[in-house]
Amino acid sequence: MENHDTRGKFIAIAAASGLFAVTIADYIRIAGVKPDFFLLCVVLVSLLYETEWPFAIGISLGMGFLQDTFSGSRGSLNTFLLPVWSLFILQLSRKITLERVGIRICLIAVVTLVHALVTRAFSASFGNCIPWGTTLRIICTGSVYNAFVLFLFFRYINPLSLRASVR
Amino acid sequence: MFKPSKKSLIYAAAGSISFLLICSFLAIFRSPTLSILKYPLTFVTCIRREMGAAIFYHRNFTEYERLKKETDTLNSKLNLARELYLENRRLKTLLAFKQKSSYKVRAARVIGRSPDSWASTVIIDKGSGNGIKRGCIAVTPLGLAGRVVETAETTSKVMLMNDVNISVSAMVQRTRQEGLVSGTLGNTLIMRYLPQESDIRVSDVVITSGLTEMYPKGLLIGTVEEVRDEFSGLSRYAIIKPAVNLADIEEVLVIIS
Repeated sequence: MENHDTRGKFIAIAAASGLFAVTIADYIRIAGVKPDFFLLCVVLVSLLYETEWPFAIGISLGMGFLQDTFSGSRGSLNTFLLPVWSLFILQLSRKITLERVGIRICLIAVVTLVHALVTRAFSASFGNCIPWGTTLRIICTGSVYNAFVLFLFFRYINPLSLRASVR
Repeated sequence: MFKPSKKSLIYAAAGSISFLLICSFLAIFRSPTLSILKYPLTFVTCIRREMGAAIFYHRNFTEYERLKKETDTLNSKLNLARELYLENRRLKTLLAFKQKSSYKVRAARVIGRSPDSWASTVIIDKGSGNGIKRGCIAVTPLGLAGRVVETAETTSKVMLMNDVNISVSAMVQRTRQEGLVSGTLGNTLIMRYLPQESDIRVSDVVITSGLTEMYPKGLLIGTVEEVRDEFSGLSRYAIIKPAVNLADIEEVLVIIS
């Protein structure tokens, strides 16, 4: 029952952050870049629900699908890539501890960077080359911004209220 | 040394292929999802608009005063233009010229934006049920805004001019020099393939050339901010400031015929 409550809370937060990303997040752009709330939700669900991987993968798939629905990207890149990131983080959490906030912040920065490079390569494969200056701007600003938002989340929201109970 | 067995490799390959197929299959649900999400998006956008109006009250009031004065000036110019139009029509009839048909447009409100920084798209609250089709052009009274790339029954997705996937055949209004305008994912556009000897200067107006069939001729794209040489030195490119403020766009007119 407790797990259902926390899952329900997380789904509500994910839905709210998705709506926020699509409607209001434009006001908080820095250098033309806004935080990738869908990627942040994926990283969060993988960190908080490492013992409930079907839920984490399901949320990641949903987030990827919604991101592809709202964005102008061709194909289903995010539908495929976000669950892959979730799987990667779940596997990584079994090898090393990801409890410390500093490690989590580094993780989101690295994930954002690699995700951005893959997105650019995917766009280039369709013949649409994004200039390297724009790419570097999005990568650098996006990584730092995502890391900052994650830091704020762990600073002001108690992750224990969302975390699945350990069996 | 970790050595995966043949069986586990086959399972991994089959699992990856199935997952890829599922992800591709999910793409058909995007249009119905957009239609369903139209109402919460519209609600949140309305709230955002009302809060913006309250927070930026003074700025909006000052802007209102300025626009009121501008409207009065424009109304008098419009009357003069109307007179010239009627005279022009009479003269054309006399010369038996064929009349140019005007556009049929559908007004739509922006209810959502692309959630990531890799695309510049907006979601509008009109779709195929309102006569909008893929490839329709979106404009504002200020100029060209973008193109419809996806439609659902009640919503559509418009790719804005500053998206890298958009390229428009354009020309400089003053000299008729042609080039290709594309987006940069920033606040400016770039006009490429300008010959080294091309006559183009800062503040020149850039319009659509009509060479691309889907973009009617004469739509305002923007003004030239800077002209630079390409790295090869064989051609030039120009940085264009879009006529439409794409970051704050709230309503568009979609040309449906």
